[in-house]
Amino acid sequence: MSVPASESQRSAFSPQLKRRGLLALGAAALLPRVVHAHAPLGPIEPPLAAPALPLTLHDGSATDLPRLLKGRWSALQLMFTGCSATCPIQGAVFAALQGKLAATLPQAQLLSVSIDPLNDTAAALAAWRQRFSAQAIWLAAAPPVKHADVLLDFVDSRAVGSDRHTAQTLLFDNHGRFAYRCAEFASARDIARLMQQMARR
Amino acid sequence: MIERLKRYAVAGWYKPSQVQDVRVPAGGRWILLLLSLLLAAGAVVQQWREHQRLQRGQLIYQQGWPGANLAGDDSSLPELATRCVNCHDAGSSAQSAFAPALNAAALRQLHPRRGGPPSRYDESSLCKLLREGVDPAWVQIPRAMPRYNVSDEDCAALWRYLVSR
Repeated sequence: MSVPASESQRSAFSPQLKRRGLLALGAAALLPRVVHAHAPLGPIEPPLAAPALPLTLHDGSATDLPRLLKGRWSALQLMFTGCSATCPIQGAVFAALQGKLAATLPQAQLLSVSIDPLNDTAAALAAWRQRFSAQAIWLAAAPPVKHADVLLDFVDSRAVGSDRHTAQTLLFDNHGRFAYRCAEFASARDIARLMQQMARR
Repeated sequence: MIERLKRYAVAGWYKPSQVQDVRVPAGGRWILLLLSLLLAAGAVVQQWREHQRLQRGQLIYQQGWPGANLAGDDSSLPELATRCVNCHDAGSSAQSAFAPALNAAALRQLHPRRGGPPSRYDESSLCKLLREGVDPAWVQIPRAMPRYNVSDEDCAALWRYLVSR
């Protein structure tokens, strides 16, 4: 049997409830940032059209992201050439991936997009590619400085700490849409298999 | 040898009457010598193995893991990419913020990690973390730490080196 709260009880609870309400509001305000750092892995439903982000490739040529993605099955990673923590492994995974895709999915491409356009000139990107023996299907690119965070926000791939990006591999379909998010350090074998399955659909 | 034992007896180590009791039969001194040599050789081999293990652990930590690959994958990673110091070097404040320091104090001391109950590492829990990303309190660590295929020998070598720091 429920007992109604007395006037004194109600007045005693109300400051608590107010505090809880304020806390809940505060948490709600923080929620988008928290969710941001933990975007779900797997298929992106519905797939998201890539933003019209201008890019400079490792060979110095200018293009934009939708143009680069259109007509190809793409695996994209965020990186920067001065990164010594996760990026060397990301590079090694793409180095293995290019070999697995060359024979099985000729319309595939790999994109390493810098989150540090201030330092990642075309020459720096070219040197980074060379370090991993990148073949023609593997491109490296950087956006203009003022658009440095556009892609980071679009793919929800911010990391907490000094390294601002995650080591996730992001898959785009041949219409240039963000379609699948792989966990950090997914293996080259698994990424190749996923891309082949996407292309077969 | 009997003469030497007698000298010890004079020095008060044995009673002179006991000296006859420890007389070594003919050929026995060679067996004793051989046993001593074997024991000494065993100790040297043990020390050498320990030294090799430490060196292997240091190599993995500082220069990279020869032939390492990610868990569930068979592609070898370049050694440069797998150096523990890439992320765990406590010498740089930026890097130490990226990943925790790895030394005896950090690993062996009992303290709460990632919100779990107090825990400490041992060799097998370090191996579990490297392979599965699960810490000693069974909390999943962030995926920014890669999971590796790692042999028991390499894992033991890395553990020995880390707790020697």
